Amino acid sequence: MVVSEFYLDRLNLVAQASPSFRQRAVQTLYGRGSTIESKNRALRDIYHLFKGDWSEQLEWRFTKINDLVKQSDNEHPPAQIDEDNWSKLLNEIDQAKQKTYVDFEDLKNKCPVFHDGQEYMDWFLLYLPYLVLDLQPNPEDWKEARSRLDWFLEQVPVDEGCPVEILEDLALLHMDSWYVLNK
Amino acid sequence: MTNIVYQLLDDLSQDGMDADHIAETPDIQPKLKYQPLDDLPHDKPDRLDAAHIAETREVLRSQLEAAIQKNNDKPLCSLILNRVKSVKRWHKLSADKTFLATLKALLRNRKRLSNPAIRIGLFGGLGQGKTSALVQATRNLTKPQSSFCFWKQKNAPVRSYWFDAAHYKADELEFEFDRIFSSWGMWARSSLINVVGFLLLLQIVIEFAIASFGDPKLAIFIALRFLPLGLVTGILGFRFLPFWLRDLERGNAFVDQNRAITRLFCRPDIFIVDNLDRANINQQVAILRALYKHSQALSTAFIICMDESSLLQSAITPEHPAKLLRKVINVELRLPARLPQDAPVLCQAILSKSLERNPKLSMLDDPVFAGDFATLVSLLPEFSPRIAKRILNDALVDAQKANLLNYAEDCGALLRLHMLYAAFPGLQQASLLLIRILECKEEQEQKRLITVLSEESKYEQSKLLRLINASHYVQPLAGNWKRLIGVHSHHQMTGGARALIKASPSIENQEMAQGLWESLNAILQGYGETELWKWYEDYCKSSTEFLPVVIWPMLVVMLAHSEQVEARLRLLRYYQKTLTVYESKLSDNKRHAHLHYALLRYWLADHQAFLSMPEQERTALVASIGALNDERKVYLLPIIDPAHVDFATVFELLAGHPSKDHRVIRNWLNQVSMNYSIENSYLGFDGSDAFLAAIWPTLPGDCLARGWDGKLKEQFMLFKKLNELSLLNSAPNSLVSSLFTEGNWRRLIAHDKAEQLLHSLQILLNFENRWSLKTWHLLFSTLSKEEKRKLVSDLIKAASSQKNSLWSAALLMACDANDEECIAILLKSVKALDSVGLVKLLIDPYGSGEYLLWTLASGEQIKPLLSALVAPSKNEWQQFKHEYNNQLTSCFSKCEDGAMLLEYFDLTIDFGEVNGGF
Repeated sequence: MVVSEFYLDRLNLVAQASPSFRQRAVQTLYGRGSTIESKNRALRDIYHLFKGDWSEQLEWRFTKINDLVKQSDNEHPPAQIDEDNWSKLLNEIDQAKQKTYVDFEDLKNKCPVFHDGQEYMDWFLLYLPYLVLDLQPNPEDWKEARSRLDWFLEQVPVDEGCPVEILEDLALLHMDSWYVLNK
Repeated sequence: MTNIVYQLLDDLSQDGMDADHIAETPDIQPKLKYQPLDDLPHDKPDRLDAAHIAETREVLRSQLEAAIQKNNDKPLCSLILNRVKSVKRWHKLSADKTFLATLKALLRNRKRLSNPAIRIGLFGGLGQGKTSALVQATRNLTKPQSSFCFWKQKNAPVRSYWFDAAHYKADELEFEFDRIFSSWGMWARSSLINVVGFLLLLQIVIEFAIASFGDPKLAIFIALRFLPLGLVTGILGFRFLPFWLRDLERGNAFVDQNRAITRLFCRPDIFIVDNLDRANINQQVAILRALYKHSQALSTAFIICMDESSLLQSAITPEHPAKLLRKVINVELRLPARLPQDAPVLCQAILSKSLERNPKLSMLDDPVFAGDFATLVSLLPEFSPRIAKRILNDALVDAQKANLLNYAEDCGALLRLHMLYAAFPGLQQASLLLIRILECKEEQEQKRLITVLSEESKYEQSKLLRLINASHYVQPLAGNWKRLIGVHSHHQMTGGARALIKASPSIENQEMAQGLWESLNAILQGYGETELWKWYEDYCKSSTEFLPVVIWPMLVVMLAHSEQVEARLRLLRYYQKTLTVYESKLSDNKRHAHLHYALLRYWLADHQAFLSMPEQERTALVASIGALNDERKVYLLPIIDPAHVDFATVFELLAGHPSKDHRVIRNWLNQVSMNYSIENSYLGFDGSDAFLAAIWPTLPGDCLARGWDGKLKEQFMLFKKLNELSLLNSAPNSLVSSLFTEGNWRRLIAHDKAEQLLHSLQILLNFENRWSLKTWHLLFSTLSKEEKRKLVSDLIKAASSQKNSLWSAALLMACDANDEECIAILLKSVKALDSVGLVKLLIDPYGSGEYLLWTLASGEQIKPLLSALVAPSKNEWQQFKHEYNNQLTSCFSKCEDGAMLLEYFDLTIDFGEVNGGF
């Protein structure tokens, strides 16, 4: 994922502020982003802002959320960070861990059964980053990404509220954007 | 024919305008028409209309006799009467004789019988009414005749022969003149020549016939048969001579010759030479000499009408013109010089004549208009009936073109304009300057402009200044002279006017008018008030028109001509008192209201008189504005001077609300403009402009945008005043545009007029909405980066002792000019930003990229600038913070130590999208 510069600027600014301001400012970051990738990234940034060791790391694999929290973190919050805020964050991270799969194969294996089109669509949008996870922007991997997409589209339940064409377009857009930005 | 002329006028007035546009414009009011007065001599005597003359004969004779009894020293009357008497004798002689016997007796005794010829000179300036006076004097003269005379009707008129020098070509004049006299002098010879000529013609025809046919009898027969035919054809040919032969006919004067034959038996009793001054000097001299010569042989009274000034100025040798005149003229009559007090009578007469022709034009009956007319005419250095009528015609034709015939004030203003044109004929060429002078309210500036105009056009400055000041109270709607001058320059009407001798029905005679004038003058001087009450008692009973029609115009003329403030005030007070006393007697309430308004208008415009009144009286006078109707109030607005009258009070009165809220007044103005279809373009663009337009009408106009220094000064003064009164809480578009458009600032910068610039800037900065994006965008978009830099450095130089807001403005400009050095200096000078609006401008410039200020300033520098805003007006700041949160964060993020600012101002951070791609 390419992280937005605007986002990084703001984080940079907040990182310079006092812990109390940081706590207030990050409240808007919870749940930010539509995909599991950006949601996890936001949680990672909040975690580091709280810890006071935030750095402008551009590349960060979102599945690493599982290794983000150290054992010692659960014991006491970082200096000058409110306990409630800290436990809220840990809670959020915990929930995110449960939603995060290790790789595409893992996602495939743990794919749930969808009852209607809406449910599928939410799931589809959330896990869109798995289309290109662990792939490189080259023609071979593009084929792989395409086949992953085909798998995704196979899961679409028969429902008028979930047109396959639109989902396909969205996915292709995501893939194009990844291909261009990472090449 | 008249219709064609009107059509032509209409066409000309629309010439150059968009015809479609005119067609689409709905007619809000029916368009009134004005029929101009003509320039024909008044009731030209018709020598054949004997019945009419007989009817008026007795009346005039008795009048003449009465006049002579009263004024023995008036030579014209007595001389004419003498002529009448001598003619009586002449007729006595011819009473019992046959035509031929009378003729013989006349021929034989001509010299003995006749009186010596009298030569009367009637002198006076151009258009003073010489011809009209003469026409009136001669038209009703008839010969007293007791017995029957077979070739003349009973009660025959005194015969007069008019020789109008202006009717003849220059090279024919003397010849024609001599020929007329010779036909009288040699009537027998000319008859003989006619007979001999006829016989010769007959002989030629016969000779020709003999030569052709050989038989004399046949030739005579044929000649006699064809001769009458030829004669008839000839006569018919004269009658229906083609047009192109006119000149030939004129040259040979056949018609005159025919008439001369008739006149052989009817030599005139009075020979009138009119318009002699139209001939050249040599001809004038020649004709005067010829008159002298012929008058020796003829028993006729001669009247010579001319303006002798050019003749006297010439250097004719060897006989000096003065000597020649002394020799030729036995009796000299001169039209009296006109005094201001003659103007009301004259104007009233002209107006009533005009009203006769235009009965639907009620405006002519309006005392306001009558007063204006009389004053303006009286102000002319040498006014005459002709010029008065011309001014009226010109003004009303213009008014018709602009569809203003309903509005007495606008017509009055047009009169004022034409009065100025009449006094200074070249003014039409300088109409732009004239607009500035007329619209200027600041005395010094007006004087300066008048000096400029006088120097340019070589006018007498004091004269021009006097005329403009004395007629100052005549103003058009919203003081908009441009519109009127525009109408005028579009098509100049050169309608003439002729003298009107007939007095108006309202003023019974000159004597009465004179009496009234004297009485009013007594009041002006401070005595004799009771005398006038006597007049009122007499006249007000008989006529309700007395006060509005007779007294008011006189009063205004007198006011315009009196120099003393106290005297004017006395007269104004007196008239006010009179109006109050006679309120019940004036049955026509509408007129009465007009009078109150007319008085108020003059009074308010006379600033000197107004200022010399005690405070209490002044307040009462201003309070009386409230009683007027809305339309009249709007007309009063430009007259009121903000420097002298408390505007706040005036507006309360105008709007009819005890409120100083400008919105109420704006609403009122809008209401008025809708009710009276005052064009919206007058009232500017937004509420503040509408308001301003009413007070200071030229302000939103385009003339301001031309960048006249004087106008700017005027404008500053007004804004300052209005701002002090809190009547305007926002800078009107017109102020901003007049300051910033058309390169006003650029010009000021170029001329190193930083002081003036500061002044104008300060005025702008006094308004609450001084930091509106619209305003500054206008400014910034007109200046280049270099100009902005120069402006900032000027401001820094000049601003040391100035207010903080000026420093802030400089900072804003420095930011816009991208001038790092200045920004750095100003960051130290500006103590605090005084308005959220300014912060908005600094953080959110229109599309020119973010300002350098935020990169250059540190958090420690920014904090004190903004802290003043956070404390007192928290709500405003909170609202602003909420609205501009992101922009503020962006700017702070550029600052060194920006995080501290974020914390200090407690901003919410919007992180935007995490993902930079899709």
